Amino acid sequence: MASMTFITQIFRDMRNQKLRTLLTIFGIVWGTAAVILLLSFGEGIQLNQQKAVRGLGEYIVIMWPGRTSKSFEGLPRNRRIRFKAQDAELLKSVPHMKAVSPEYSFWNARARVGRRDKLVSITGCWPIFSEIRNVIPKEGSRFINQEDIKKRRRVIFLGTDLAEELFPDIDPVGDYIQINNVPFLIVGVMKRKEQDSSYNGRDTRRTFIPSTTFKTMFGREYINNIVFQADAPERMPTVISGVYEAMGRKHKFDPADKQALSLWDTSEMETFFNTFFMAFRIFLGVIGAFTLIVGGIGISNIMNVVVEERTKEIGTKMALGAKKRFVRSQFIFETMFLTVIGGFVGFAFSYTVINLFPYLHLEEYVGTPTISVSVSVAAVSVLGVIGLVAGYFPARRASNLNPVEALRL
Amino acid sequence: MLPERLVTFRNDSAFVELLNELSEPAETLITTGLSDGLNVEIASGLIESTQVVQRPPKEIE
Amino acid sequence: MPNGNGKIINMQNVHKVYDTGKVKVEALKGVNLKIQHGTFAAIIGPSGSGKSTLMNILGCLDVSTDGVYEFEGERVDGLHHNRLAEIRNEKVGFVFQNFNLLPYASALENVEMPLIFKGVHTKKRRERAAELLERVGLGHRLTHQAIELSGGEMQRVSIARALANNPSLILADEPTGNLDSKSGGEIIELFEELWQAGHTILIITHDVNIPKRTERVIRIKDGLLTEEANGNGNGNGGH
Ligand SMILES: Nc1ncnc2c1ncn2[C@@H]1O[C@H](COP(=O)(O)OP(=O)(O)OP(=O)(O)O)[C@@H](O)[C@H]1O
Ligand SMILES: [Mg+2]
Repeated sequence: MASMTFITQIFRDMRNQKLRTLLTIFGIVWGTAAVILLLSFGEGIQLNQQKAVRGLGEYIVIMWPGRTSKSFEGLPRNRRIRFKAQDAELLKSVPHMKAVSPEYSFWNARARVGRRDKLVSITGCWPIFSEIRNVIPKEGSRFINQEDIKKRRRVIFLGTDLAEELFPDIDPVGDYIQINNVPFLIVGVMKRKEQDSSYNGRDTRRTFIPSTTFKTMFGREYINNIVFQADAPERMPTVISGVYEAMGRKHKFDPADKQALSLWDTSEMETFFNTFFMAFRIFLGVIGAFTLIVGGIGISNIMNVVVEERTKEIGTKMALGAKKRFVRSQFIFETMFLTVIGGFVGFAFSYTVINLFPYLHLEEYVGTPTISVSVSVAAVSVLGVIGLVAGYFPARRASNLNPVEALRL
Repeated sequence: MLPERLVTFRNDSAFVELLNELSEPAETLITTGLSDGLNVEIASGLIESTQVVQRPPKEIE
Repeated sequence: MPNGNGKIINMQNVHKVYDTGKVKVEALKGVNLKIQHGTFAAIIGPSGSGKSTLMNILGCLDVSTDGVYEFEGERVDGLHHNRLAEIRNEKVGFVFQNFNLLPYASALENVEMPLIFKGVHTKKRRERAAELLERVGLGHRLTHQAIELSGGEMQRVSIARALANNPSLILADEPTGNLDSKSGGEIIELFEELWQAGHTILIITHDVNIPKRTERVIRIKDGLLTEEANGNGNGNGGH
C-alpha cells in the first residue's frame, strides 16, 4: 500500500548513510558473485572435462581377446581367444547393441609425403568407428565410407596432429600419402578434440583406413580388438552379457568366464566422473552459499543497528497507528531491497567476468563458464532466502518494540 | 558430380539429404556412378541444381 | 455523535504497575475519569505523578494493569494490538513535547504518515495533508524537511499530523515544553481554536498559563486524580 513511501525512505536512509549502505551491499555483491562464479566455473570445468572424457567415445566398450579360465565342453582352460572381423559382424545382432566396429592395428608403418617421412600407426576399421569413437571429420572431410570398405579403396583418414605435421600449410584432402610405399588418397582429416584417455595412442596421431584394405594390405586374419556402443548408457550391462553369450557360443567358452574377453567399459569412467563432479559442484556451491550467508549475516547485523537507530521513529509510527505487521514488513522490505540491489550488482559483475573470461584463452584448462539457468535459479533462491531471513530477525525486533519505551528515548 | 562426403552409403544403396517442403533435411535415394574417392558421379535421383544438405561436424558435448 | 453516551473516555479504577523486575512502581493507583466530547482540559501535577502514564493509556499506546477503560463505549483494556493501533490511528492524535517528527521527511510527508497507516490513497493523502498544514499556518512550508523548521513550526506540523484522521481525542504531553513563550503561546492559541472548532483536547502541562484557559483542570498526584473546577468545568468524574 505504501511501498512508494518505503522506497523514498530507504533512498533517504541510503543517502544519509552512504558508507554503511555500500558496505552492506558489498557483502551481498561479493556473496552473489561467489555463488555464481563458483557454480559457473564448476559447470564449465565439468563440461570441459566431460568433452575430454568423451574424446574416446560416449559410453563405449573396447574389447580385446583374452584367455579362458574355465574348461568348457571338454575344452581345456587357458585357451587363447582370437577375434576376426566376422566377430564384429556377429555382435551387431546382440540386443540393444547400437554400433560395433572391428579394429586392426599396425604400428610403425612408414608414411611418406614428398621428402617428409614418419612412423605412424594404422588402424583398419568400419565407417561406424567414427561415431563410436568420436573420430569426427572436420569441415570438407569425410571418414571411411561403405564404398571404401566394399571396393577396398586405398583411402586414408588422418589424425589432426599428424595431418598438420605432414602437411604444414595446406589442406591434405585430395592429396596422396605413401604408406609402406603404397599410395593412399587422403579423404579426410580429424576435427581437433580433447582426449583424456586412449589405447594405441592418441587419435590425433593415428591414421584410419578401411578394414578390408587393411586386411589385404597387411595380410592379417585376426583383428586386434572390437569397439562397441549400447543404444543407451544404462543398457551397457545387458549388452555386455549379450556379448559374452554370443562370443561364448562362437568361441566355445563359458559366458561366465570373464577372463575370456578383456573389456574396458568407459561408461564406468563416465559414471565415476559424473559422481565426482556432482560432489565437486556441491562443494563449490556450498562455499559460495556460505560466502553469501556471511553477507546475509552482515546485512542482518546492519539492519539491527538500523532498528536501534530508528527506535524512536518506530515508536512514533506506532503512536500514529502503524501496526506491528507494517513495521515488520518495512524492515523486511528494506532488507530485501538491499539484497536485491546487491544481488543485481553481483549478477552484473559475474556476468562481466564470465563474458570477459574467453579473452584469457584458458578454455583448454577450465572450459568456458556460462551462467546457466540452473546456476541462476540456485543463486536467486539462495539470495531470496538469505534476504528474507536476514530481514526477518531485525524486523521482528522492531515490531516487538514497546512504543512507550521507544518514544521515551 | 557431388563431393562424396555428402553421400551416405548404406546396404548397397546411396543417399543424400535434401530439404523437404518443411525445410527439414530428408534422405533421398540416389544411384551413383564412378567415383575417385573424393567426388562421385550421380547417375539418377538428383537434379544438378538441387542443393544437397551439408551438415556441420558433430560437436562433442 | 459516536457511542459512549457523549463520553469519549470512561476510566474506572485504572491501575498501572511498572514491573522492572527488581522493583514494582505503581504509577496509577485507581484512576476514575470521564471525559465528554468537546472537552478542553489540562492535566497537571508534579513530576513523576503519573501524567504521561495516564496519557499513554488514554491514547491506547500502553495498557493498564487493572481496571476498566472504555473509549467511545468500546472496552479497550485487553484488546488485540492491531485494534489498539487502529484506535490510535483513527481516534487519537498525539502531540509530543519533542515533536517526534521524521527529521528528514518533509512537513507534508510527516502529516501524511497517519493517512498512510489508514490506507488513504496518495492523491487524497497529499490534499488532506496540505489542507491541514494550511490550517495550522504552514501552507508555505509543505516541502521543507522537519529539521529545517523552527520549534514552533515543528509543533504545528505535529498538530497537523495529529489532526490527520480527524480524531475524537487530541492528547498533548507538554506541547509547549520545548518552545519559547511566544511560540508556546501561539500553540496554545491554536489548541483553543481547534477546541472551538469542536475538537476534544487534553493537555498535560507544567505551564501555569494553560490551566487558566481550559474548561477543566485535572490534577494528578501520586497516581490519583483530584479535580479542580475551572470556568465552566465539571466536578470530579464529570457527568
Ligand atoms: N517504563 C517505566 N518503568 C518503570 N517505571 C516507570 C516507567 N515509566 C514511568 N515510570 C514511573 O512511573 C511514575 C510515573 O511516571 P510518569 O512518566 O507518568 O510521570 P509524569 O507525571 O509524566 O512525570 P513528568 O512530569 O516528569 O513527565 C514515575 O515514578 C516513573 O518513575
Ligand atoms: Mg511526563
